[in-house]
Amino acid sequence: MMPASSESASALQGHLDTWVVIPLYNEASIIGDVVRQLRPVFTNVVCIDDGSSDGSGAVARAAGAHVVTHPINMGQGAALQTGFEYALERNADYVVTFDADGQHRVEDAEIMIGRARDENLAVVYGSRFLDDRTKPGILKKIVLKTAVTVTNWATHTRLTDAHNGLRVIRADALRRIKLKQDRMAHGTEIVVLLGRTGLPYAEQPVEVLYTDYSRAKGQSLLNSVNILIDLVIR
Amino acid sequence: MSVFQFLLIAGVVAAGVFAVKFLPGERSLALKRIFALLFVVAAIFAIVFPNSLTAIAHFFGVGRGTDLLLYVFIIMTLLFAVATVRAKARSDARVTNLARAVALMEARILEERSTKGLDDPTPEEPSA
Repeated sequence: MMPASSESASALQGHLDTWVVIPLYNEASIIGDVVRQLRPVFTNVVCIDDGSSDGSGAVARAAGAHVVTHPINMGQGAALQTGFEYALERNADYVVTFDADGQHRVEDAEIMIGRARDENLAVVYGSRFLDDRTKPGILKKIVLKTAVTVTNWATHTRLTDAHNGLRVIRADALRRIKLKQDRMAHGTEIVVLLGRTGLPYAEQPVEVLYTDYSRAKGQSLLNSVNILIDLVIR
Repeated sequence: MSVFQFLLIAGVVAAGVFAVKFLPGERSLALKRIFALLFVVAAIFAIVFPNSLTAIAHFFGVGRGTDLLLYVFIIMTLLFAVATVRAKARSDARVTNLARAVALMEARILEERSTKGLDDPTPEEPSA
């Protein structure tokens, strides 16, 4: 268990008005490290254990995260929505969405929350295509670029990266959206819904760390077909 | 009337009775029941007078009554499939909302308990 006293002393650094929401599904080998890296910067971390069968929830809890457990597996979009409602229930002013597989950098999240505060933004999207730090590989790039083109076309937004799990969303924007795409199409759905609110947004260049682990678990090409079809047929 | 015609009529009537009895939904239930009854009447008519079906088929420019029957059957099957998929999606959405409510409630209970110091499953700030 983490000592609470050192945290309250650094309340400002702890971002106590912010909840980091991590959809969690069978990532027991890596979620502990992800939570431990987040906790010195963000005190409030909640993992939505989406019916994991490998004890991911217990690992996350031991690492210092709050854990909400879905009784059945419902998909990443459903887990995000649960996390949003959890955070709003606890009077969060900001929510940071973060992937469980360790592909995001805590520093990027901190910069994004800083921008949201300083520039009075309701949404800050992470984008791996604004600089050349991220090396996604050609096939993955085609898939992601197709996704973002469709998203922009459908939402009248101008983003460079639609399916990036790292985002900062302010509470007033969160209250106005409800994700209904339980599976992977929520990446686009979240942009659609947030775009409709008309609240100010920005993109922040972030680095996505393609480790062997995240590469093995990442979305396949076939899955992108599912995303497109999920979006067209509702 | 042949034995087969009799069997067909019995089957259609049985299906109609079950449909009227077990059709789901409230708003359009009466409409669905009327539709089911009309279907039974039409089916019996078509079974007793097979030539009438062929006459209708000719009217629509289809060769035989059996062909017409097949086409209508295919369309109905597709509509049924779509309706089923949509019903499942609605039901999935309900399950999601229910499961989410359960998960959030469980989290609330666990955290309440840990702040009271009964047991400590979550690393929670200590109660004052």
